[in-house]
Amino acid sequence: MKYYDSFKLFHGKNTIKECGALIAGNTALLIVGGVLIRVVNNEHFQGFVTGMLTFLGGVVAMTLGFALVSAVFNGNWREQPGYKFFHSVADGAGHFRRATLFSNVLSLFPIAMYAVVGGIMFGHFMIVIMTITAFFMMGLINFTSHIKSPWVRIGSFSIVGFAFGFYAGINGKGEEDIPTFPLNVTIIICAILLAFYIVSLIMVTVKAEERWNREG
Amino acid sequence: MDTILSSKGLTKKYSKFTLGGIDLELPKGFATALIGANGAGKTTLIDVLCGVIHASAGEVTYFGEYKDIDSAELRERIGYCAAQGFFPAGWKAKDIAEAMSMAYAKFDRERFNKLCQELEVDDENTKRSKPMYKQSDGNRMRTALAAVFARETDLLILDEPGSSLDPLMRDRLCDRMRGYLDDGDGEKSILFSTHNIADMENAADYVVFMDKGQIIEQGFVEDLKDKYVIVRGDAADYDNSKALMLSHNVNKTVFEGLALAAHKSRFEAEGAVCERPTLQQLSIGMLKYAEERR
Repeated sequence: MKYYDSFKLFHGKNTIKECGALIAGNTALLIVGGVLIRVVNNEHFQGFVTGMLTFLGGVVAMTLGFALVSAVFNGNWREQPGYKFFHSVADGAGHFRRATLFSNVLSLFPIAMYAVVGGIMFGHFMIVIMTITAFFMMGLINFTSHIKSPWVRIGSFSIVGFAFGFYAGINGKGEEDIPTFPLNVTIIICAILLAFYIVSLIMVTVKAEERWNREG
Repeated sequence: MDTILSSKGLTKKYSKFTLGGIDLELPKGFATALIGANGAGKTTLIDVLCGVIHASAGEVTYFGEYKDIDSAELRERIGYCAAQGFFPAGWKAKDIAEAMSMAYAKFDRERFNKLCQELEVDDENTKRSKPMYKQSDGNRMRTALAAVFARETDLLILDEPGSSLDPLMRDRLCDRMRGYLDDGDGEKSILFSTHNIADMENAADYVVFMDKGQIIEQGFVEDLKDKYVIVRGDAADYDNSKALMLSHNVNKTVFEGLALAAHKSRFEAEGAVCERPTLQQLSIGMLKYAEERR
């Protein structure tokens, strides 16, 4: 409850409900797209839905994850409105640390939901790509949380397209084939990026108080 | 004099500006106006007192007992409102109410909504309420003031609360500040900064003048009005008077300025007229004096 309360402090509302609604909407989009691909027997349409929907839906899931964490980090930027409110609250550093941890964990939910449903609808590679991308992106956001410019964090969205292309290209298969990795390679990549994310999470929560008390 | 807050050698150093050492004693049960030109250090001093930034040196004692601004109990007793951008830009009234309820045990949501209605801004129940970034500066300040006045506190510290408000709203703010002190029965106090003293004159009992990070004068308003005079005379007599004047304003026909009341008889002997200053005149005179001394 304490972690949730601190998270609510930086968001100012019951964001969980809004997150739930967005996740539900994004998931519904995937299901509709998956059904349409099976029903509509048109290659161009199938390619369009697969490409556009999976990419856009992935970006929406990532953006939601990014926004959940970003609102907390923004509370510690002097240039951002709200800085003085958060820094005038008692135990601000404690709130910041708890909210950072909670928002990080919560940010994985929309991505995980998208990965699972997308995997069922569009093929298992969706699960892999989303997992790789999620861990890398959220880890990057954590590691760059001390950098003022948002472009580094926004740039991580490009990982969505990069990961897909890399995953397809590394296997050497043509565009018409669903790309696959050897299972052991996939597991190793996921494990490395999971470790990357965990390290970033530890770093950002351990350093939270120090960052909170640093001015500028 | 009972003090609500006192500081000794309070200092904050930046690369191009230093605040302090500030030795300050704020009287309990009164409203203190912190007056100074832009860049005098008012906001820096307020931010240090409220724990938004940390002092480089010195100490502050709050309510005669607390020395650590990071104490949760102390922060619960202090109501702070910044001059601009106090709440995140994307927040609406409902978000502000939620966050304030999380942050402060003695935040009254009903009172917040009532104050929002009185101040003619969106409250929690307003349909299609606008986020802060879509509101005017004045409405943002009104919402922030509603939030701070909705808390149960013993000391209000307001940074330029009147700066974005229209004259009517500034007058209402003064009334509300008076009401806050009256309800406290001598136990509540206010510190507010302003460079618009003309409209806030009714709110101030005690005043602290600042210039370039230093306090140049402080005292009860009535005592300072007795200590200083406004001198007016013919320009031809200016040379006889200028040595005793603290601030000067002279043209081809008349001169005017601030001086110590102790020299009143000498000015009158030279044919000048001396009168009791308003707080506005006192402020201008003190700040001009500080500027000329730099």
